[in-house]
Amino acid sequence: MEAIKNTLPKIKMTWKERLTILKPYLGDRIYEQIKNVWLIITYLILFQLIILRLPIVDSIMIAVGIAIVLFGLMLFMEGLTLGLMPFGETIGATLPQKAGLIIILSFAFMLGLGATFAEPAIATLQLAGRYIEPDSAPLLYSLLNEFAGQLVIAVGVGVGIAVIFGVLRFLYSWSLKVLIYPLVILLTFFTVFANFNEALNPVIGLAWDCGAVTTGPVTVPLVLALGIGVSRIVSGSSGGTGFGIVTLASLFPIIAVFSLAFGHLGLDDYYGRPNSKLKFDKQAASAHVALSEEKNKPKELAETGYSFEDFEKFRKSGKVPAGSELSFKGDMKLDEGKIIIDNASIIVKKRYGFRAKMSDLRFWDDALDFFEKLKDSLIGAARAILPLCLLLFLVLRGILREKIKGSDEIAIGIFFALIGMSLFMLGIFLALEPLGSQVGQNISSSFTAIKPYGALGMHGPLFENKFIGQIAVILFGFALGYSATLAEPALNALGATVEKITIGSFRKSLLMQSVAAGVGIGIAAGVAKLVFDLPLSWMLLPPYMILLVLTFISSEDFVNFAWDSAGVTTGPITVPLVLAMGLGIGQSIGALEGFGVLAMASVFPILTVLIVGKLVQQSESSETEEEVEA
Amino acid sequence: MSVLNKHQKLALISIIVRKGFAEKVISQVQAAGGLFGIIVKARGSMRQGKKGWFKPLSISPEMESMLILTTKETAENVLQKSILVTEINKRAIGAVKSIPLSKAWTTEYLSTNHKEFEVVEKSAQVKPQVNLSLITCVCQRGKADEIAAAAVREGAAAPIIHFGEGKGVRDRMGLLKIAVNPEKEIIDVVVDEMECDRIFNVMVEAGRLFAPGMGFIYTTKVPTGFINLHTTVSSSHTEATTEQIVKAIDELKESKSWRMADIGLASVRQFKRKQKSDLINLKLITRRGLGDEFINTAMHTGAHGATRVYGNLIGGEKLKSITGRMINDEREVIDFHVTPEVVDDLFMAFDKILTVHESKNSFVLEIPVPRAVTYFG
Repeated sequence: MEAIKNTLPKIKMTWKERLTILKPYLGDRIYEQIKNVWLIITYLILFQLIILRLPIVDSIMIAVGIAIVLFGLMLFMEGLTLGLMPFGETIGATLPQKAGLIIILSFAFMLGLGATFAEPAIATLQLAGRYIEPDSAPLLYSLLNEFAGQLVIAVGVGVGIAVIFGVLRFLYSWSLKVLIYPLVILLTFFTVFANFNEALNPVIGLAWDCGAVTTGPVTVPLVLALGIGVSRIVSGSSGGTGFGIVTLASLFPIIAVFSLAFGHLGLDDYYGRPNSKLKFDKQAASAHVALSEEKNKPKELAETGYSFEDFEKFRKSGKVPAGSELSFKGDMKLDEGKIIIDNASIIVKKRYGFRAKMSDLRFWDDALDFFEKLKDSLIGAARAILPLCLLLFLVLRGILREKIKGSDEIAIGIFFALIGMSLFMLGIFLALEPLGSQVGQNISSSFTAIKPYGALGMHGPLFENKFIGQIAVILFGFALGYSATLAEPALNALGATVEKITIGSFRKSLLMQSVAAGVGIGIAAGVAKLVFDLPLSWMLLPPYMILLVLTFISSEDFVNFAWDSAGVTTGPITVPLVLAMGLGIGQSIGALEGFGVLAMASVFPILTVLIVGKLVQQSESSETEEEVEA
Repeated sequence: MSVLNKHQKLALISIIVRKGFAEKVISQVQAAGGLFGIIVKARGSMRQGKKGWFKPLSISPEMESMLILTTKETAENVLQKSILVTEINKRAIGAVKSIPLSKAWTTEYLSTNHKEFEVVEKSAQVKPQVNLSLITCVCQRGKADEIAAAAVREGAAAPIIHFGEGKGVRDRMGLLKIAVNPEKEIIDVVVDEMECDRIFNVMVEAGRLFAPGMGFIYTTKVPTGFINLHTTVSSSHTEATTEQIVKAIDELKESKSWRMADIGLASVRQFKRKQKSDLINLKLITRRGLGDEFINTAMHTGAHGATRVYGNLIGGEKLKSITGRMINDEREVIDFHVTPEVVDDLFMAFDKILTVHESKNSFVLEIPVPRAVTYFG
């Protein structure tokens, strides 16, 4: 017995020796994150500096923020691999052995519900609700304002049901395809129906976006690890070896949001309807309208046109100021090869300078309270991680009575994840959000004149031809989506898991590249929707139809990887950047509702991963044939 | 009282097939005399087709690797059956090989006077290759492709790669252990005995396995085997054809001894690094979760470290969950490499642990290791 209880003596090391061990460890981890993040940072900075030729406002704050993002991501990813994922896998592997169906399923439901409340992106969508005009989209307005609580509960219940189905799938070896078809067909039906209903139409974007944002950097790794644990234990589990819950967790909430919308449509109790509890407040409504009108009013008239002084100067000197544009109006005719204008008026306009003057080149945003943001980030991270971990811990110790193997590593991992996520969120506040909103808003300058972020005066369009400019902005959108996706922590976790489960067959880099290309295409399509004003249902339904066919002809493994990739693409890095860009483009073309771009970013990665899967299978089978011939 | 029964008449067969085929193979192999087995996930080496732009899109094939315990009496029968079932003599990709056991202990008393088994007729078509060697290399996660490619360039056919976990020094470092990645890749290459030394040396160099912390490499004899694992790694377009030519000459001459002439010409680097011969690979197969205890004990007794791979037991009692679903019987396969003197002590220690835990279906297998290289301090 004695020999068994013996633990091995620790190796005694000097501080110097410890440092030599820590150095390559830290170096590797930092390098890993730099590899993921450099593309999006470089893209944003180069875009601002070289294409727009504008300096970066708050540059020092952004530089500090980038360093914090890198360090935070490093800690967070390390925390995932050391703590959260082994924790999730342990519970997944223990549940089917020690618990009955009811306990398993109630745990699954609780996990889904808890994960939704923890996810910070839901709050982002609610914030976006403030920009909705109640008169043009009353149902959407009500869902995001007076029924906001119900909305979050509906999404939570949706995710909860999704996790239940996900776990049942592993227990009974159902194919993911069998669940995907009815869900997508139901969603198609809902979307088409909503498309032809005046009140429901604006809800389409919200519903699909809710599906996209529920699966964030904490939920995805946890749910993946849970699935891997369960299917490791359940014999003959053909269901894609642990994947698929993320897919369901992005589809069920859409159904839930639609159902909620149908419910309120039936009850007729949303904004402006007879059963509405909200008194139709004329004053509030008009205030709202006034606010949005004021927002649209071009305040820069004085900066973009000639001032009174300019006019006096011109009147005295008679000289057209440099940088002017002349146009003529009047009755024109061609007479013996000459153009003659009767009753002519000549208009002298100030030409937009290519370079706008920066109003105030700050290095640090003084309005931003560093410690306030740090506190917010800590609270946000704690809210996202701790309740879920507590739930796992209670179930594991209280119900399953299982000892936690390697609990010291798991504890450190959770601590790392907590600190990492706080820093990472702080870094997003400091760097990615300001940089993203500067560049995001400036992106539409490729086809229209804009007033750049923090600048005085207008900035002329990059391209004279409007159509070329629109194409360019779509390409910029692609690059933004592609490079932001590579930095997403949830995608990194998914890639690592896929690599681990396939014993390195399907490399992480292959998955990440396919997904990033898909998101790029999706964002580009979303931007195209905005600039060409295409209806969302046109943009969503055809890809989903193609998907159904591709899903049918692809192997179960690829279907699982591909559909799960869709859920992880829209995380804390992509969402603020895409929203800022959507808002920027939306403002410049007068479209106020920017929902739907995220949903597009979820569809196309599925397509690209399935296509890559098909190509790989093709090249493999052709090789086997060659061998047979040889 | 000892729970481990010693067997002199056991043999070990390794079968590698494409993912998804293991279940089908197992039931038939058991009918031919296979007793117990462990199934472990693996991948083949990177396949890179000739079609240019597909290259970045190529992935390595997923494989399943099985270790089947059988009696010496039925070993050849099982080997024949495995070749037929896996169809690797025809077109399917896979490998079957026998691994010599000097001793074996099991917690169950296995009847070596075998019950009835299906006798497989020998056919000329299924003639196993003889005098092979297995090179096994444990390296850091992510390094395997490089080492495997070096072996393939030297003429080895298709390394198979597993994911494993290194145990030993890491567990003695306190919290600092998080800085040491325990994840390892384990490469298995079967080569002709004559080419073994050359390929072994190339792999040692490619992986710098003589340096501290880089890994461990050793050989095992493989008396008989049937390997059909085509791979084309490397950028060379003529690689496959060379391989085919060599194979054609092999078939013409009905042996590989003609290749001996080559060895003088080939630049065989004289290997002067420290290496050890006549080690013992002690392979312990036990319930998942118990491994740490065995490893701790073994390290007190004289082992320096261990490599662990997770797999599932096949051929034991079926386990059911509360919900009535079949449950996998998860196992750990732990490899210790020790000098022959400590084997008996280790065996005693393992026996003690198994007595305490009453763990069924545990096995301790002793496999001779003629040659090994690592950083020996």
